[in-house]
Amino acid sequence: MEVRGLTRRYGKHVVVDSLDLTVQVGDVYGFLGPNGAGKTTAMRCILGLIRRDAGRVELLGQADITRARAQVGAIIETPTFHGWMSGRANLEQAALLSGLGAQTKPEIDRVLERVGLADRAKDRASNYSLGMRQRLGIARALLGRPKMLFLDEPTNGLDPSGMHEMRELIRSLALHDDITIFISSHLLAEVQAICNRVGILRDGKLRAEGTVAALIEEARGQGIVEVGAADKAALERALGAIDGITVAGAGTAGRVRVRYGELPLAQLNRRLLDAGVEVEALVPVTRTLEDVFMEVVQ
Amino acid sequence: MLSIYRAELSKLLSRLPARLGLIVALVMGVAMPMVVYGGRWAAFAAGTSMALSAGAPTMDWSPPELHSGLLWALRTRNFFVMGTFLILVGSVTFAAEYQARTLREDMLRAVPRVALLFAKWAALVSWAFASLLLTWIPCLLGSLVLMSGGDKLLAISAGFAASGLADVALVSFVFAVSVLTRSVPGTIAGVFLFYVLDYALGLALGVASALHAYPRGYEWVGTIVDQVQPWLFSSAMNAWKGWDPTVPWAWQGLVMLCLVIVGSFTASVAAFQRMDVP
Repeated sequence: MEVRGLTRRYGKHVVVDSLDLTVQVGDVYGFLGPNGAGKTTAMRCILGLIRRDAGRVELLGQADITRARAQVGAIIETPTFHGWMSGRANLEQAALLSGLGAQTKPEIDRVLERVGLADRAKDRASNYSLGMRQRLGIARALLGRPKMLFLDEPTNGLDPSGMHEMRELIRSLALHDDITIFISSHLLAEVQAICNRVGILRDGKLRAEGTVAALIEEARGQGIVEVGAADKAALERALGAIDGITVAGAGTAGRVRVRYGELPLAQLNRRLLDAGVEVEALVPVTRTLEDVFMEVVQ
Repeated sequence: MLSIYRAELSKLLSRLPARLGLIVALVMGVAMPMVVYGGRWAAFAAGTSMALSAGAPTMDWSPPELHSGLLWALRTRNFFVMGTFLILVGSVTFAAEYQARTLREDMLRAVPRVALLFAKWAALVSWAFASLLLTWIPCLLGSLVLMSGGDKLLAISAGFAASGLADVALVSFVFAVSVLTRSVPGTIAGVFLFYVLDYALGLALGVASALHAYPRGYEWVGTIVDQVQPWLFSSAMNAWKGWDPTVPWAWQGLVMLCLVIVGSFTASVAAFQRMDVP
């Protein structure tokens, strides 16, 4: 998928601002951002649900999004169904729209099996739990064996076991079904666990993009360490006198959090010792995607 | 395209108002010959009983004319009954799906917008025709069994055909309003408001036409009023009344119905092409 200069305005408010994105075949791309950052709007623009004011989108090598959707499955926000129809009937509707023809029945059986809903396929969709609806949404998105999947907050509203099931399903789709996945989520630990690349959106603009490892590595230069000493007052005085570092608040077990920047930890230790502080602990805080995310969006 | 149409038709036929509409149409078709026949029989029985008690000679039994069941079925279906269903079903086909966000799910398939809209409209038109046939065919068969005589069968069947055209026009108009308003209450209110305005205009023109009291030099207004009246939507919707030999077929009404169909669908496509689907 290639997106260049994608822009969408609502009146004077620019919701998506000159967005550039590239998703390679086989990527599991995490599309992150706080609420209102423009993630869903961007996904809707990319999929042709809403108009774009400017920019170019290419999906699976095609600029004709309608045609490209034949090889794309998507869940935007909470998937919706005709509640009075069974889960299977809802899938039959989608299969007819996709023109699956003779493949309809085996394909529906396959996707129902894939998401673990084969036993409940005849139940009315309105009787499904939220987790089942999410899975039925995935089943619908998987009809016709798409090459790319768009998932907008697929774990929203799910309980912990539902989240776990969904995460396993997504992971398995990426691993075993060779599907390129573009996923937006607030659950950063999950994104870190299943995505190889991420983009972080804030105020409609892409603020950071890269592999998860590279982003964490890049942020390591702005690392944080927790420093502990018997005399906390002396420690704080000494820290205040050292150039190139900033105190980032209280840490765990009475320690002080320090953003040490480019200063090597060994040198930080030496300076504290020189200042007469008896350092008891110097614990680097392990960086996560969440730390990177917070730094980008704040 | 055919599979998109099939999807829309099966969805429409699974909706409660659509099913109810078809049942009501069928009940009208089946019941009307029996009601007309029964009414005539009741009148005959009452007349015979009165004649017997008065010592007067009794009348011979003669069944109703062949066309009378069809005529009452046509009148009944066009007296708001099917119109109400047409408005209900027409409004849920697009607006309810937009509001429930199921339209988005359809849009996520590889379906061009025009094709999707056309399939929805075609499903509606098919439903409207099915409702017409479900009244006409059983009514015709029932009449053939129960009744005889009369020479207006073809004329009334032509009335049914004109009624079908009016149904398609109404359903197309409702569909266009539902695309423009994207809300079921908005569609019903919009269609109702249009009807009220159209009837009000028709009434005003009717009064003006009846008065024929235009100031000197303004007689041409009367000519225009007479020419405009048959083109009103409400007049066009009554085009089916042309079955009656004493009421000439209003060709303007039939043309107007065709214009409404084409215009409504064009407006729907134009609006939907630019629409953001939530």
